Amino acid sequence: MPTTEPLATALLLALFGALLVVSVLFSRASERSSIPVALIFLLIGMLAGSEGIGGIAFEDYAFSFRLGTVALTLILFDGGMNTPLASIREAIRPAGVLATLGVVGTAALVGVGARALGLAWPLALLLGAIVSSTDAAAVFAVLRGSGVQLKRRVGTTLEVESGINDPMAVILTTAMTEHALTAGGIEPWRLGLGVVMQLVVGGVLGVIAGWLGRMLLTRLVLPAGGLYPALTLGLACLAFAVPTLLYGSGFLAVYVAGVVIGNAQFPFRSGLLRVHDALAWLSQIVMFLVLGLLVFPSRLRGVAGTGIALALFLAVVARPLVVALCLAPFRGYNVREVGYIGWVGLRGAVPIVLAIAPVLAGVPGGERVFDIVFFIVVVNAFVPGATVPWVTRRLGLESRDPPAPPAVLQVESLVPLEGELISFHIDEALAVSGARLRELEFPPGAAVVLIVRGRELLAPRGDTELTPGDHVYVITKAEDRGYIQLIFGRPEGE
Amino acid sequence: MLLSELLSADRVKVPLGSRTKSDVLRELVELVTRSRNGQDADSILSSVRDREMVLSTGIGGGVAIPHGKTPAVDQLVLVAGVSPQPIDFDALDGKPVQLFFLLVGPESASGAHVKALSRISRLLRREQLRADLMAAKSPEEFLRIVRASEAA
Repeated sequence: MPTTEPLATALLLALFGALLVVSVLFSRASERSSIPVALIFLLIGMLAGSEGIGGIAFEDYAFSFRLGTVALTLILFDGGMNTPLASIREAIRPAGVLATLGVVGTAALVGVGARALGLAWPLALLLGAIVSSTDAAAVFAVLRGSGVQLKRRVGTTLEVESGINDPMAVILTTAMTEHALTAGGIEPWRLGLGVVMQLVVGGVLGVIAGWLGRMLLTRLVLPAGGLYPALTLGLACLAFAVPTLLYGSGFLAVYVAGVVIGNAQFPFRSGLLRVHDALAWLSQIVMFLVLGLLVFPSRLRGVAGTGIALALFLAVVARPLVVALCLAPFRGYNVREVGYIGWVGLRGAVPIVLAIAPVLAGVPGGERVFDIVFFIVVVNAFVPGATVPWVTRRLGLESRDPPAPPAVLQVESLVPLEGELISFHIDEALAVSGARLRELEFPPGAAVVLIVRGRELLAPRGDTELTPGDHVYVITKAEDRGYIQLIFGRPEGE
Repeated sequence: MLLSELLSADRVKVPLGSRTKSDVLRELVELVTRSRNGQDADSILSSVRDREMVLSTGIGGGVAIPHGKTPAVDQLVLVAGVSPQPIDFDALDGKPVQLFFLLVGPESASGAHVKALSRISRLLRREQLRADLMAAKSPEEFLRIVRASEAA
């Protein structure tokens, strides 16, 4: 290996570039196979590793942990930015219970399961804490790939839950790591107090960071559009870092900051969202590649039995039971929906990143826990992971997924605008399907401004008939949105 | 087009007996077929369900306006109902629904269909009217309230 520059850097970039390109190209395989795309990145990482065909020797847990934390920060910020406030408002209570009590319950049950399989209590509880949080990206990637769209309330519950439950898993893992290292362990009240403190500090500072970002983005006029994402990237780093330094949950804070910023209107908003979307994807790929490199397949064989048993226990017993208990006080979830939310508690990168922490802290048996966690996440990607589209259809929880529009029209504005441009796919079940534009009654501030039919852009005229399959762009004032959605259905991209 | 002309006492049900979205849609469709003999309830119901699959017609504020186009009817039919228990309808604001207007019409009447929806949703923007309709004790009282609001 050359050690002189720029050859060393070039070699590193060649390696990185090749892995990135291969990962992106193989991501399409996930669409056909219903396997979460993250798993494919992970497998590529393993193949590139010291025991695969790549032969890259890599065993830097500290670097992996740091990278994983940075990646999660970017992913959570992006997740927050793309979560509409309406979803949060709608699902915050059930999701909040799932993300706190639910996480504790899952951790405890998996801990008991791990103890039954022969792990000592400290390690068993640590394992439970590590795998206790769910991953929305995993669920939605699987659904999107298979062209199924979830019923809204079920989707928002899963989405909001997974947005806000990582902090709890992090807090529990930190506490259980400490517990495993301290003779006699830590007292429960200290743990409880720590949890509340973390959540409160993280939540409050997240809102503050978000408001600060909102203010800057709406008031500040920067010389170039490209500087805005640089600003928000900085804000995301601060939103994670400052609360963490002040004993708050940085993961909660960065998600909350993302929500507050993402729900504001400011110049270059859609461009900004796209940059963060790209950053989140890059983070996903890099994180999973590195985690794949970090794993030694030969070591996994020793924990296969335990891993599979615990993964199935988590999927079939722990998660469904905890979800059923957590959602019991909430009206409006029927048995199928509760069962579904219980079933699709997919695990993502967070457990693998968290599993590095005890290894770094020097917990005896930490590497064994890491291997088991890795196994649980991989098995979880198949059961329940790969079953998600099938189960969604089986339980009748899908809503009609309109095909993506062939062209996208957006309003980029330097100042906040009154009113919005929304696109709709014309389904034959809609009231407007088959109607001529002149027959439609629009509120004063609303109109059809463009119709995309196949590859043709149609000018909307009075006698233009809306036909199934059209993509229609409508401008409307916020107060008329309910009526517009009554006759046009679901806005595209929502 | 006046809603009070489309509605009649036998097309309004107060109170509705259903507790779920699926049941309440069926109960409302039964109002359509009851007042127009020999029609295909299943076909009407499935057209309404198809529309719900796209996006819930629960437009918020405790109101839902399910609708559908079906060859089973030859003109617009509007029915309404009030549920004493709020029913979870997957509404846009997440709140359960008490006040229902169900509209079905033939494929050929898209224009009139949309006009009727527009009329209903515009009327129901008034919060007081929504509250009054939800508090109606009988179909006759319900109709009186609709008529009075359209006359105003």
